[in-house]
Amino acid sequence: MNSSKHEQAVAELNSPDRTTCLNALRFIKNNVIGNKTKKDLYIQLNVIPKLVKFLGDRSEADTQVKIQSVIILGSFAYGGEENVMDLVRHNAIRPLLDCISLKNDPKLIEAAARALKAAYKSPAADKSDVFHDDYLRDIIVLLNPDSLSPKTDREKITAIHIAEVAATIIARCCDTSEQQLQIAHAGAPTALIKLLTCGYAKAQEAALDALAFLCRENTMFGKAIVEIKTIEEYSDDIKLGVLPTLVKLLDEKGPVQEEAPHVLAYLIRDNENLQKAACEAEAITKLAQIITQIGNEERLYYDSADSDKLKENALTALAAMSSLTDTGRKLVVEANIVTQIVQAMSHRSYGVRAAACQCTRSLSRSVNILRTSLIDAGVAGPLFKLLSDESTDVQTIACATLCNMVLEFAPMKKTVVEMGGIEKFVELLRSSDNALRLNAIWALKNLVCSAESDIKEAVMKILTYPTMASLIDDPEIDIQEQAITLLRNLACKRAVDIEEVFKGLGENQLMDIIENKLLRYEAKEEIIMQILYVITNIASGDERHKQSIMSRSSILQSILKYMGHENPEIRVAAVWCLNNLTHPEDKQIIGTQERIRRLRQMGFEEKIKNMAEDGHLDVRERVKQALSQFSQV
Amino acid sequence: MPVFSNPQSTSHDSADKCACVEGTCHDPNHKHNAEGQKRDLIKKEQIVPKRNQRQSLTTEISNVRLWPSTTCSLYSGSRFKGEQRSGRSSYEVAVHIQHVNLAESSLCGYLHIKGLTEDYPELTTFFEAEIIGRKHSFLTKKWDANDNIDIQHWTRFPAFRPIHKSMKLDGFSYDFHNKDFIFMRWKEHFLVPDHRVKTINGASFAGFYYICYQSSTGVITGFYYHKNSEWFQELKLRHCPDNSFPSFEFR
Repeated sequence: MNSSKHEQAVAELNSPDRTTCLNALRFIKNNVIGNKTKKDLYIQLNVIPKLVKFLGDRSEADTQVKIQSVIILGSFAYGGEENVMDLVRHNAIRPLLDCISLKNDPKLIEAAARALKAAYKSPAADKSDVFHDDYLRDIIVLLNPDSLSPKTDREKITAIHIAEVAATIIARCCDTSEQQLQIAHAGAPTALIKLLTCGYAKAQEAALDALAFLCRENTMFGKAIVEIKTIEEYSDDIKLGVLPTLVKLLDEKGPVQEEAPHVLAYLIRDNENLQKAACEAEAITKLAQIITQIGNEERLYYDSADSDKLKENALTALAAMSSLTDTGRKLVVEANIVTQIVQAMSHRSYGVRAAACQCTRSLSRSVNILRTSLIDAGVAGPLFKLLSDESTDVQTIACATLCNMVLEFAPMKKTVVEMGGIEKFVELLRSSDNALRLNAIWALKNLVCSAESDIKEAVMKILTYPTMASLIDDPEIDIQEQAITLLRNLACKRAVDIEEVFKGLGENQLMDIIENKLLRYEAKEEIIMQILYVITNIASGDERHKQSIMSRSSILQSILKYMGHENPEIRVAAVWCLNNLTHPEDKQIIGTQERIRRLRQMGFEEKIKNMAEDGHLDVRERVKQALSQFSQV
Repeated sequence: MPVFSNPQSTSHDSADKCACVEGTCHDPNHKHNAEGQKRDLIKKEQIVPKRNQRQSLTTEISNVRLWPSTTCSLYSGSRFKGEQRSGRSSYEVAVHIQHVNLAESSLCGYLHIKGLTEDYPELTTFFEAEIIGRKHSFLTKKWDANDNIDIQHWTRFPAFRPIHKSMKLDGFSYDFHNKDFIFMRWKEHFLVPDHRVKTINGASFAGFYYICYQSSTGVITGFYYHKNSEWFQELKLRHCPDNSFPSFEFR
């Protein structure tokens, strides 16, 4: 009806008179803001190209005209997907990006950033523009509110608001790993982490959001973020400062609530103090509530796929919070959700299954919980099924979790073995996935620890000695370490068990393994340690077992060398080898005397005497024993 | 700067550069789109398997290893034997340590006691220990104990007496690392094998033990405290030496 008024306003945009033009812009702005119909009307009147022209006109020095134009374009963008498509069609995005350069008026920057934020919400907007010219750099500069050198309070608030919007733009430009990479290389993580300390909740949330999107599906990168050198010094303080805000975000709804547990899990993993701080902020109670609530909804409605991601993230956060401390684990148990966690291991979404399994894994690191809540929840069956899950990720975590459930004190050990655990672990060792193979050999190692001879025999019948020997030389060093520890556990406690290993590998191959691993100059400390305990355990056997060690002088030389290792635990292990070789037992009295003479000749006694004042209590105690045994002969 | 695990896609068309960002072309009509699709295929075949190798939050929340920790005779699997004296009677006791976590100042194990009741010729309980140090103070502040009761018990250990004086100093905490004496509180939690059995006729594990362990001798001394039980029932245990050592690690 009064469209003529609007047509007239659009026409007045062509006026050479600045005031007429500016008044028309203000009129249009006041009409379109918050009014979908008017937005559509003006778009139909083809106002976009005119507005874009104002932005692109380099000679147009009038900032006010530009600001008004950008606000109108932004208002269109907030109107939805179709409007954004119109903006894209009229090439409005690049001119908007031109406006965010620091040389412009902060008001213009703010308006343009808001417009871009709205435009990039839509998949229709091509984000590749951001990666051209200096745009990305411009956006990252804006993450630092100080770069606009604000003086008044009002200017400071504008600067912080711009930083918040810039962070959101970054969050929306992380669609591909290439984009994540470019944003990271341009220095966004450092700027975002600084923004986390600005003290303004909305900007902090936007920064967290951006960090989360940068890490999404790209955890190596996320790890890199946390490891950035400059942040490292302050990182724990920063994280401690952010934690309460983050935990509060768990009460939000929608995407923020969904993302918050993921970021939380990410921040606190690997760090006991942060896990404790999260516990103190009552994160566990909140996460438990989320999980319970989703559980109830799942029972009511058949299809609630929307909440799957939230459930997954909440479970992951719980898993992270209880991964390192018993305090965290007990809080999870007290929150009464162990049954639900176990149920979630059979969820239709693989992500939920993986996260629930991760949670069970964290809990299973407590002997107490293994013997109470976990056994009561009937965890063994559902967990065992996951070893055959269609997702390798789920299989991998299930196998890691079972590593803790085949230990001597785990009441479900027997069930796991009866369900065919040994066969399954050996089968998984043939997987092409190294993480899965590592967990499988780890499980077998744990399973034979302190086990009876028949269990050891059952494992080796299926695994076979040649396979174990090849795992000891696996290209993956971590798998080597586990395979050697398996050997250590097999050749343990009883002379008959040691004899089995001698028969299985053959004395020569067994000694070759020990010799070669010890001679590796660059060997990992963990491997040296495990090999020294293989020797210790073999030397606890009968005369023949001790003699086989004595027959390899290069092994003896290595033991002597490692008695001077900088790691006290390796010194302890090396002295244990010596103590078992010189241990006086009636049956072996002659052999022992001969061994003591030979080892004395090689310089062991002298070495031991020099170690009597070792700075480490454990070493001194073992050395005392060695000295007394040498003094017998 | 961050190091990435996913290698950038290798492109051989450097001579024919277009405006596509990093070789990513979103325009289906563009000539490079086909090349982009080819690269996607390469990515699926070569990069995705590599990604599977790396640890993600899905498969690995934390990279922290849970190394087994030991100090002298306090190690997973270690056994101690001895007795508990109550008035004129004494009971045979064996302790089997299941797991030691010095980083968390804790250990746990089974406590077997013989002849306590007729129904159970041998009773086994699961206990958890708080190792006194930076994490756990000498002052219990729970389990029906108070500071006075704590001191009455701790001072029964001669090794505690020199510490008693410095205890009143501000910021005092005992560093158990590399010390001959380690003090602990052992609290029994439930029965083994059936943790659901809550009451046993003629026996109770409602209290806790004040414990002193000496590394150089492998001797554990303890005093049981429960407000309604006879005070200062003494536990005395000796380490049973081992000469071979299996190893496990939580995953």
